Amino acid sequence: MDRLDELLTPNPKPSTVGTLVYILFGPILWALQFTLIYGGHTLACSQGATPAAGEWLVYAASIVPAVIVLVFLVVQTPFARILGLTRAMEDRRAYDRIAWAVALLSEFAIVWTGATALVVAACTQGR
Amino acid sequence: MTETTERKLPNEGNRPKEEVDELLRIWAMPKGFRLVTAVNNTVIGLLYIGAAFAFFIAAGVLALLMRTQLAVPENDFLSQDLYNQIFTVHGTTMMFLFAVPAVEALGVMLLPQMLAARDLPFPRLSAFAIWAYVVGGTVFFSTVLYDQAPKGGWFMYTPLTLKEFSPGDNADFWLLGIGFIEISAIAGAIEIVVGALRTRPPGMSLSKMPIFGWAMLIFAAMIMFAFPAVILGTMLLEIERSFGWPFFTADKGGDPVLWQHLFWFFGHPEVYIIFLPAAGLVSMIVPTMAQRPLIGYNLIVVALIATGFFSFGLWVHHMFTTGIPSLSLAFFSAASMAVAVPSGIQMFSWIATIAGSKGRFRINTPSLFVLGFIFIFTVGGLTGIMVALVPLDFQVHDTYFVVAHFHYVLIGGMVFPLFATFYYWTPMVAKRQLSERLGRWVFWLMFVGFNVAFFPMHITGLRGMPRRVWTYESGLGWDWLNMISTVGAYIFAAGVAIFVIDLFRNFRAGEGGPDNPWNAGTLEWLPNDVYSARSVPLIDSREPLWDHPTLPQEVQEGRHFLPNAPTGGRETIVTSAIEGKPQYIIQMPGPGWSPFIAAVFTASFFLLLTIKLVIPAVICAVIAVGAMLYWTWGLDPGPDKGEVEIGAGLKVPTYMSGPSSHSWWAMIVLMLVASSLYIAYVFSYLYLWVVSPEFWAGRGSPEVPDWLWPLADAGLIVLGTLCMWGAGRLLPKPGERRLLMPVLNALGPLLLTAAVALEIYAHWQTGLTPTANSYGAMVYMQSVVNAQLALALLFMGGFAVARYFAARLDCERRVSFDNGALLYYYAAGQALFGLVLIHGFPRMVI
Repeated sequence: MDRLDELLTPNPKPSTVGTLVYILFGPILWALQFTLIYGGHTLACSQGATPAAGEWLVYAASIVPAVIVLVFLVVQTPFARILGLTRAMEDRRAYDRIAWAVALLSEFAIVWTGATALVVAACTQGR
Repeated sequence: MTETTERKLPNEGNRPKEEVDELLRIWAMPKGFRLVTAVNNTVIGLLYIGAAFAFFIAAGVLALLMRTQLAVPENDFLSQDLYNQIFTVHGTTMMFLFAVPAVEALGVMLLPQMLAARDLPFPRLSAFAIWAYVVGGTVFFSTVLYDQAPKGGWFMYTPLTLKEFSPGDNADFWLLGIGFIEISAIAGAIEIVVGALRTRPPGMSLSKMPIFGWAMLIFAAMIMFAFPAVILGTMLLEIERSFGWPFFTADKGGDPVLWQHLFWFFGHPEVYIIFLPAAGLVSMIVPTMAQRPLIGYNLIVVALIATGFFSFGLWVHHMFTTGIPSLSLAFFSAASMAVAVPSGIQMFSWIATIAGSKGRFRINTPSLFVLGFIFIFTVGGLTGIMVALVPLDFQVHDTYFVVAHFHYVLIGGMVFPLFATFYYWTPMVAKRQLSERLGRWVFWLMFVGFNVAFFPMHITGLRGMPRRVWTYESGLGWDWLNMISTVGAYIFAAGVAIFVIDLFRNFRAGEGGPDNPWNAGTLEWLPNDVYSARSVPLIDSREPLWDHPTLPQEVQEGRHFLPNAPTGGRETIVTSAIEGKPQYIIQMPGPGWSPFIAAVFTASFFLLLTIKLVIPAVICAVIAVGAMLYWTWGLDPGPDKGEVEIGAGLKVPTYMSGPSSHSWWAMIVLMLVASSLYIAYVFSYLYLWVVSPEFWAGRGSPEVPDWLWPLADAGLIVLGTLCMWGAGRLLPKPGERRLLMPVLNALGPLLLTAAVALEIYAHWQTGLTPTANSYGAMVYMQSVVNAQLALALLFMGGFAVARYFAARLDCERRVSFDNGALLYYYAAGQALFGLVLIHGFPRMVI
């Protein structure tokens, strides 16, 4: 089909917000994890939580989003469908690839920042 | 690049020549002194970038003064006080008046051309933002000439900048001047977000958008989320300085480190706000010089998105030495290292594209600047990884090592690409190119000068020289290093001076420059006139000029979309955000005095307020608001012109309201900005509670008001929301009247205002005062934040009511109402959440 005909042919419109959320899925979860580990750990420590509790909070806040992003990396299609991306939408593969690679980087960031609790004690001052 | 193939075009056959004459008439530029009323993106963009470059030169002169002072030990060329003013104004100007405006200017100038749009969707908003910046920036910079400049550094750390330690108006100039310039940056960001998502040419889906478009989109989104934090910070600091609300005073429960959090939550993303557009420019220049498509387009998009996000997780790495718990430091250290990955992806993509050109990569002035950028930014990135390591940062914090690092990042990451841009895109807006011979001199002097100036600073810093000192003793091992840096700074300045000479000799703004001199593949190199491209092209690839070599001719012959002006005025095509399908035509306003007057008097309002001339400031505010109302009165033209054909038999509406309209999108963006500011407030509230719980209600302050107060408040807010909802339902059909509608529309904002007033009274009657301690200050600050929205809504409500009585508002022509209603619903949500926070949280933690 010619490009002009493609443009004029009415197709089911993909969700705008859904597509943007799909592309940004990984970073959104990273942002959530980062907020939770920084805010949660600070709050817990300020309220007298033990170092172990602070560390487990970090693990929990990291593992859950890491698993969700991992699921996204393995099976993207249901996420795309839920978020309103259509099969017929133009350049669907490009959005899939971008979303996947962004999610991969986010997975790395979640694991990398969350793993700090393995080597640094919670609720302590360095100096 | 592929060979062209026969394809259907929106318009076959010849178009009448009168269409071009009409476009020229409609888009004609004002002449003489009326040029200040121009709104065309090319004029505005040039003015914007010219002003930003002037600030670069001015701040550069200050840098030379500093380097002269530091060339030898125990120098008295500058006094300590003047040195402090100079380094503050240098940093502030470079960051706020040069770097961000320069990249925003490039967005305004280049983005519509790359998208073959006739203009950005809100041209008068661009004009307003730019004039406000020019006036406000000039006054701010001039303070250094009469000893009124701030001296607390570009970061204005508290407690140094509190009234006690910084008396006088110097710091206020920074706070009000810069806060205001940030608002103008947000106005530009709204323009860019809506422009990039909604004014692409038909067929240009999101994944075919030029990389610069992606970079600007992410840049603008970052401004939306980063700038509100520092706007809130400047509000808090100015309120503390002027009225004594102790947000940052430790003995009243405030915390100076809160300022650092708010500042750096903006300040670190700011680095990427500057860098990402510059990287976007490089991603446009490299493929052209290599004469092949960019390798890894999708990966670069990935890198831009990831960098934009990760950059918000780095701010504490500026605060490693403030006593933050170790694990928190580790989070930010890890994130600071993680951000290097997407930055590296971009680097490898550019290098691969250059390598993939198989020797065709052209070495000329733009590409030299690009190569210089790659070298310098890589060095800056590597030292960035070094300072991301907490122990090393402890060692080099506040030394010249850090000065060297961030100049490598900022000059390498932004100034070099900017000069590449000057040489690369000049033919698009000028009658001839800049000199290649002089350009090479400019590059080599800047490149050598830069490295001579800043590389030794790594060693100076490692040898312990602190930043921001006006002089130093001899014999500490810093003398010769400083002399070398000063020599380098002058070599760098010589390069910039030659560029200025080149500009004077060769730069003549206007049409008639060479068509596509670099054989680029993107749309800004289509034949252009004041109306942009004659027709808006149908797009099917990322490098349309390479894939369809006849495209410029087709566009010029009007064989693509919108070859004329079917509404008889300024207009451009709005397409769907993802797929780029034509949806409707925006009717855009032309030149006018109102944005200029509004900008000048808004700037005057802020500046007069700074020097406490309240009555003249209020008069200026009234004039500014009047100009804005006059300006907006002419918008929202309504659906009278029906549908028009734009090509290929496609008929689209000339008016749109609701979620598809560009004004709806702009309002959503504004609401995101407002919510970011509010989130920064919530963070500040919780932060001060963590730091000083002993000042909270029931401990160091009176108990929170009885539950009846917030319940009454919530009742007023809900009632107001119902009024707005009802007003929307009662919008009459064109030509009809429903008097209840304006009553409800006016009542809604009044009820919200009453709710804010009631909330203030509720706390006041408990004996809580905003000056008593940080808790009181934060409680009343919540009302200040809500009052801003309520005030805006009072204006918007009154405006909508006036339009109703002028028969300019009905159920079809309803954008003025919809904008107010959207903001109202947001404000109501924020106010209700605020009640839960202010009244619920203290009860929860007692």
